[in-house]
Amino acid sequence: MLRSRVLAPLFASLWLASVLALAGCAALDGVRAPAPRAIEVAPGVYMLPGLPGEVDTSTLGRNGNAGFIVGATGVLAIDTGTSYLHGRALLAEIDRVTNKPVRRVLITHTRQEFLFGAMAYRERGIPIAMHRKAAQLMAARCENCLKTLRRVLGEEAMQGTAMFKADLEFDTGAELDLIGRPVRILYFDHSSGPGDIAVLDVQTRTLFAGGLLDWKRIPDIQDSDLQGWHRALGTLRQMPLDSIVPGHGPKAGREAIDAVDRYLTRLEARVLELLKSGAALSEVPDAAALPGFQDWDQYETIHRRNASVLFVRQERQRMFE
Amino acid sequence: MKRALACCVLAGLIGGLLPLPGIAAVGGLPAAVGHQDSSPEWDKLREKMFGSRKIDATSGKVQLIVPLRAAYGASVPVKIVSKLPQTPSLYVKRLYIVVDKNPSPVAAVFDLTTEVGQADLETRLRVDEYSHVRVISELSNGELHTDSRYVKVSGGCSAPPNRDQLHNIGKTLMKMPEGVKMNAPTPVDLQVVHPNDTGFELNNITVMFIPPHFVRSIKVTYGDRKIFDADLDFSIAENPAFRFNFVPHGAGELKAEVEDSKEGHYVGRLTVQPSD
Repeated sequence: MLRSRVLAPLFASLWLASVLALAGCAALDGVRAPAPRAIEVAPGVYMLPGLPGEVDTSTLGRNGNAGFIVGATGVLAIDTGTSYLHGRALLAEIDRVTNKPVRRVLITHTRQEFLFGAMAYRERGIPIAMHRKAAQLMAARCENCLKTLRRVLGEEAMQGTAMFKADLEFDTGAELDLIGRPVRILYFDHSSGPGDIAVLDVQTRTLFAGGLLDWKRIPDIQDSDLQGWHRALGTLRQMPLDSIVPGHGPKAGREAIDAVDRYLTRLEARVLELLKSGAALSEVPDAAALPGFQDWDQYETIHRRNASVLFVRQERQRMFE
Repeated sequence: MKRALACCVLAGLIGGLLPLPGIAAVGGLPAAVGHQDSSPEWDKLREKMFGSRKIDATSGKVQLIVPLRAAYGASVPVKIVSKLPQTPSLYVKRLYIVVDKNPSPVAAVFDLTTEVGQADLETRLRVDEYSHVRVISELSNGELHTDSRYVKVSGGCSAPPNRDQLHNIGKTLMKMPEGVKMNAPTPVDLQVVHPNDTGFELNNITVMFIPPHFVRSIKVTYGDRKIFDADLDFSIAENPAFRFNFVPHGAGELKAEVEDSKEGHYVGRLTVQPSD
């Protein structure tokens, strides 16, 4: 706040031009969050990396990766960030890389760090598209996520962020011919989440994996159907993929598919073992330790939660066996 | 920029008004909250529930065990340990569980008899946001003792409510995880299949509110003896689960009568045989 005050007169002189007003906000935003820097993972395909760590005032909850594909006639953006300000920062970075217009933004799954930047895209008139089931899940629960984000990150960081309705909702995978470059939406039915999609750049065989794959970070199973998720990973394994932009973590190769599959399998086995041994829920987060994964980001939080979530699920199933 | 400044000022004002003991952190969360601190919610509730009666937070007669960093807010395991035996001359008569910040903070009131043998209890709570969880133990001589923990729930989106087992609603299962101990406190796990809908959740297919529907009370008896009655609210997690003790004095039937907020009545039974 003090810093903003010092900067205010400086920017006041530039306030006339609306373009510079935008820059002012970016600077305000930059006070606490580093600007996202696009990484070209394949020709014309960019990743906008999120930050490792938790949702707190040091990361501003900007933990998810976003990205974009630049075609001959336009840009397809993938995921919107955590807040209106984050969305604006992502769009500013897209603008820095290319002057082609953003034709659409796809939201891969219903997690706060992928969808709450949407208002920045709407402000620019960019149509927001997501799977119908992802949109339904968002409508059902994300008011609460937003409330939590405001509480944790503060009003300033979350200014301009609001619940929204997607402009386009779809039910199946599709071939997109929007930007003069073929892009495929992959939908696997209920997998890591009920409406989770992945986005494939056909030419470079680059996959934006959304909720389906994280790399060196514990995947979150809260919304998952684990069987469906394993099936989806099996399908991905058959596909010729050269690089993967995971939902969280650095750029990955095909090995991310096996890594996530292995994590899910180990988690299921360990939790079932605990359930059969009569463990209490209170012991589960500690007892479900999986040493092979302890250097993955969020092992201390998401893994412990995953174990609890799965324990309660398996317990429910076993009540009827 | 102006808007941002206005927000800061506003946040400052709100921060100044909140009678929180800690200093407001950047994001607006209190920086340091003690486990034994009160809260505005508890100050009010305490007055309503107990008037001006003294509540002893230092006696150590009751202990609350809660993971301080709850892995999963929708089902936070809590354990109450009583540091006195249930004798006819002095026993734990009631246990109250309170979650300060929940929309309906009184999660459970257990009315206990000496037949529990040892007034220890475990259950699972919904904890929506950073909140104190409290237990208040009322002894048969009228004394009140308390213990509390400030629980941090790991943030993010919550899982959509589970709708898989609605056809099994009310099914009540009991088991004795450590076997039968004649004339001694014997632990029992009791679980009721029930969504325990709060009324605040939206169905993620219809995007309409799921009406409140939750377990209201459980009465547990052994033969003709009352073990305990529990008045419950939707702060108890989905598929309400309890671990309690009872003292079997011979073969008999343990019975749990469950009633929910839509007048559903369900019964769980467990035959208890002395082990060899």
